[in-house]
Amino acid sequence: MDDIPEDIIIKASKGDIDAFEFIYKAYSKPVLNVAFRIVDNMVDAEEITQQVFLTIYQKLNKFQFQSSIKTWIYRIAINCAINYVRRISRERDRMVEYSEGLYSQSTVGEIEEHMNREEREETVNSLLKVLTPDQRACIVLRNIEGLSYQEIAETLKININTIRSRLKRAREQLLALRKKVMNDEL
Amino acid sequence: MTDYLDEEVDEEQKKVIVHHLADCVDCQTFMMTAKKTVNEPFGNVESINPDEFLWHKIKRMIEAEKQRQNKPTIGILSMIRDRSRILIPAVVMAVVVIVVIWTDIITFKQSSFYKKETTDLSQETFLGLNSDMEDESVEHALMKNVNFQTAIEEYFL
Repeated sequence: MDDIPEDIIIKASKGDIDAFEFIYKAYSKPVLNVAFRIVDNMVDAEEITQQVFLTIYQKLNKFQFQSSIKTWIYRIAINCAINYVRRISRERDRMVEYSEGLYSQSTVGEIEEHMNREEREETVNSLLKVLTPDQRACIVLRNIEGLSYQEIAETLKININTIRSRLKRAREQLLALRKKVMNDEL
Repeated sequence: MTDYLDEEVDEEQKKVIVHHLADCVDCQTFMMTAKKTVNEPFGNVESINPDEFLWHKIKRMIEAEKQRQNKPTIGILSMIRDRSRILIPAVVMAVVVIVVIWTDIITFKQSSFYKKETTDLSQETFLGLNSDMEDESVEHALMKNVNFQTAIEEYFL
């Protein structure tokens, strides 16, 4: 996922739908994944992805090439997802229904693989749940999307030291959670 | 710890940390736990590919947005809507100005009325005192038969 050529961005900003599709194809996956990790719900993540790309389309003519398009798109995605989380506080559990549907049609090997995947997913989701939306955004960008501290700072438009402290606090919380889980198991 | 885990330390710092970890069992344990808890779970996460329908949905939304932007604004409703963008702030501004001026006038009137009342009262008091004094001195003069050397006095006396 490298930065998109400038002429494509300019064409898309003038309303060229093919150029915009190029941008969509390059960034829809990270946008959907970031949204999913923050809102923890696929239906909502897809809705956020739509909203993000509509915003990109509307604001692309204001993009001034001062930052990379990558961090600009991540910023829109993170802001949309965090606002969504803050707006919708009620709990929803659509993923469970989705998982139940999958089990009914799978072979034993597939079920095992699915269970392992489910377990990993569950671990990640439970870890992310203990974090605030801001900390979650930092962890997702760093650990899942692999952005550098500098890129995260540019994406979230905050100081690099704030990123450091948010990551530090988030990890302290994750370690504390692990300690608590281990104590409970004992 | 965070910087080291994320490989955001420079070579010099990295050497120091590695050197320390080689000697310190507690730090080694802590670092292993941290890696296992903080890094590994996220490293195994599978990326989700967006469904094809998502792009079609977005494309439809964009086309609808384009149509909405290109739609010519005709009719009374759109005229009112367009004018209301200018009119509403202008009316609000005018109301604010009127309220401010009105409040100023009321305040000014009240203060000038109070001033006038105070001045009148002091004048009345002053005049009243004088008239009492005058009456008293005239009475006193009449009683003592004092001659004021005036024509009217001659007429009455």
